[in-house]
Amino acid sequence: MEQNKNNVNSIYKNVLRGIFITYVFIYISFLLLSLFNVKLSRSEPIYPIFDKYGDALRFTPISLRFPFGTDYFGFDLFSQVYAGLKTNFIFSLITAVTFIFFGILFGVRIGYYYRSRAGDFKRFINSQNINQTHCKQVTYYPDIWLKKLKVDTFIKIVVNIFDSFPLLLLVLMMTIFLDGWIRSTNIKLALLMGFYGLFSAPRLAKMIIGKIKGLRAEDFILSAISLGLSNRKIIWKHILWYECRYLILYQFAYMLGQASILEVTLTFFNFGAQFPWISWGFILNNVYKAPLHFYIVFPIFFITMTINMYMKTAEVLKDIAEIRSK
Amino acid sequence: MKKIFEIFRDVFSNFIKHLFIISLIIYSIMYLVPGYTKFRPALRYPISYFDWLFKFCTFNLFNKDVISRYLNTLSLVMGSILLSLLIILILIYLKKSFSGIWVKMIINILGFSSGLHILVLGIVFYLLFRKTGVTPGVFFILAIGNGVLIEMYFTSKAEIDKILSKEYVLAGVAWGFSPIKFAFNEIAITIIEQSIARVPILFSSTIIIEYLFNIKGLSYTIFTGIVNKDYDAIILATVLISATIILLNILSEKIRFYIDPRVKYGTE
Amino acid sequence: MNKNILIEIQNLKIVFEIEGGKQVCVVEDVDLCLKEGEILGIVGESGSGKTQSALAILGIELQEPGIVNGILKITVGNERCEFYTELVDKYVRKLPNGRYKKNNRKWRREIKNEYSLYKIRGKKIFLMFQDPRSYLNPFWTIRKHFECLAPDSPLIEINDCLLKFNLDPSEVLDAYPCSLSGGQCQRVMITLGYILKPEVIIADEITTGLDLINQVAVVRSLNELKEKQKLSIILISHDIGFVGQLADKILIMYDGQGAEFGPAKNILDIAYDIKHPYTSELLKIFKDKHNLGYIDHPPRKNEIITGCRFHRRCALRETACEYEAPRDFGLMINEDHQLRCKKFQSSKEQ
Repeated sequence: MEQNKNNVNSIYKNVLRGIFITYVFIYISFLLLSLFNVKLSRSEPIYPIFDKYGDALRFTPISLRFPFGTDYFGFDLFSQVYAGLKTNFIFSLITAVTFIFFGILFGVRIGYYYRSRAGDFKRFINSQNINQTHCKQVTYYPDIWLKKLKVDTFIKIVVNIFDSFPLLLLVLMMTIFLDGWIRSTNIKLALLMGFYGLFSAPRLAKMIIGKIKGLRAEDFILSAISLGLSNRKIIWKHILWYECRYLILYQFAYMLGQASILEVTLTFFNFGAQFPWISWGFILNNVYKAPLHFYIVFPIFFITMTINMYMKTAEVLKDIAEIRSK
Repeated sequence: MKKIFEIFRDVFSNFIKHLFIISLIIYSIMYLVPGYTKFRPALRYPISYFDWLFKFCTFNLFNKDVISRYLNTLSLVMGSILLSLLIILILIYLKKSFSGIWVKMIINILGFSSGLHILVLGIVFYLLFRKTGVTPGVFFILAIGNGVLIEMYFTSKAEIDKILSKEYVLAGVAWGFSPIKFAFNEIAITIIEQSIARVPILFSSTIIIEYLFNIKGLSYTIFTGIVNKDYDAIILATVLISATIILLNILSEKIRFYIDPRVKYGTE
Repeated sequence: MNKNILIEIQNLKIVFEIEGGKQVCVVEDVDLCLKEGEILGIVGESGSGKTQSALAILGIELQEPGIVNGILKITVGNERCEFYTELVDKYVRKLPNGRYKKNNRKWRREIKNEYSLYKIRGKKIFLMFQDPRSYLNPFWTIRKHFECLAPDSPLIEINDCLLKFNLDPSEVLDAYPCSLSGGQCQRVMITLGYILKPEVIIADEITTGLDLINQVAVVRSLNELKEKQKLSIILISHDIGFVGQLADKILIMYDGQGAEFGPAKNILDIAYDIKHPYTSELLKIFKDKHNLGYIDHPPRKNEIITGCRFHRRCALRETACEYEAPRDFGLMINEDHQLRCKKFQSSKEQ
């Protein structure tokens, strides 16, 4: 009985793993084809398909011409899903890259420089009750580090505030902000995705700060400085590469998933990609307006599997990061 | 009484500081939108900002409509948190008591459903129940979508396991207490912190739910404000939502400080 | 004089699951016996399973899927507990791959319904821990500890006991454990033991980490407890000298097994002939800890050993010790002296 249960559990896990791996291969192959603009279907995703009497071809059966059929308004679902892959991936990549860039920048700036030298110096002064003017002449810490401390405090407060604000609402506010300045909706969408990455960066910054604090508690950074390593080497090699690389990778995968969701949501609300860029949000908008039909399974399946794929890779990388950190 | 006054003063001062900064940022962003400054020249910016802030703090900007919308959104968020907490506690109890495979299957299904975005889930529910005119399971959609429930489950379970394996809980069991009674304070603090950490995601998810199911809420106000270019409503709604989140975040920080003596007396 | 046996353990075995699904046998074949009014000392290295055996008495497994096997009988006051083997037969199964599988829910339900462990814990058997600052509830004041553990005791009695152990009630009662020192917390725990008036106290390394003055105070207070309240104590320590001052009987543990069990005067007497080699080594270390050569460490928990676990360090080892394990406590000198060593078992048979 126990063995049977274990077998069922392992079969179930293996089946899921198999589905996941096959979807990864399918996704990567279709993505590469779409990035190189390879045309896989005869019909265009932009135009609905009409019959000879001028009516839209609604819910045509699945065939070689229409592998996923057509929706209520006559659009070919397969070509829309295929074209949406490219849009989704490119805009998610913009978000993820800005997220990683700003996350590392804030994390290292606040975690490594804040309270390292300027803060230590200030605490030393306060604890010793020494006349500050005398101390400034004797020590080698320049005044500029005290000014940097104030800037870092301000950055820390701003980071805390942006971390606690709902990001979708911020992004929607930025749409109005960009409305007056930029006409092209696709450039606006790219900037919005960039802003989303920027506003999500505090999350990664906090994790990097936590790692640096852990290293500092083990006196790792102090010993590295005393061995004569430069700041650049400590940050790039020891902190970011050795300690944080799996963290950065899994946050990258997680942000790709989040950004793909955001892109679909914005297009659903008509703030996102417009023609000639096709997006999955456009499909969902048509589905929302149309009567219920089981053909919605195909686009929904692909959207959910893509997001699940990103989340699953993020989980796997997170497990590796936890094992390595122990 | 004195303690309550101290807590209130502490929370309020922090809250006002954060509210000032975030309202400044939001007002500045909106002020820079071309079209908003048509009748508000740039030199009048500080005056108009402080005028707006004064009206906000003295509740002159609120009317019945705004308050009802705020309560609608807040009830959606709080309802989904309570529902997810209930489900999590039941799942943790089942996992500890039963070693059967069906509990793991439920958790796996919920984990898979975390990949279903709220938009997709909401559309499916909307299409299924459109003709009936009823919107059941809105809290359920909010809890499951975006992986709120499953993330809360895993983090809460890990934290509760960590707490129950602590030394003082072992001592409590050895002295005849039930482990949950002995460690109740710490478990409550972690659960509150976990649930408050999910509030920003839930607020951003309410915009989709309110759009799909036509619920008159604060997030929907922002959406209609963007379409109709009603900037005052957008500022008010975003500042209200951000104020709620800031207040909850400050509360979650202060809870640990005031309830955990190890933090208060500085040994941790 | 025939004293009542309060706690009797035979063939205790504790298995834990660690990460990666591996199982580790932490305690194997431990036997002990505690009589009324006696002090039993358990001595061993770190990781020899002393604390686990003590926790098994109260039915607590440190890690969740812990499996306990053996016979355990507790008779304190009007409560009588006899468990583990029957539960093991019903709810613990050995799988074909050699692992153990336990039905947690049914196990816990059986312990709750049929056996009266919950009436014993804290009331009849009181467990004192090593670092009381970590083991007292950090969210409760000391007053709340007394109120919850001993609700019937009047405040005057608590104040008197605290003063007896040099603690100021006005300072200590409303304080949290984190704001008291280690010595103060230890004395609070002893006061708890005094107030509760249990029948058995299990003191798990209570002097480890304390300075000499506090250690002496603890020893004096335990003696006082024993004389005034006539209770039985199980002292767990790695310091044979400390245990030797107080104990009537000593159990020496090595690598999760009982090596020797007998009266303290026999075990601590270096000149006594029949002694387990590990006990001799401990006594030598206690006498002259600065002039020692290399000492090996016990085998790893997942190492499979067919013979005696101590043979690598043993001065009296023979070739057979590596392949044949000794019988558990085979040689019976007196009624209560037991030994796990092939040399003494085979010489007696001859």
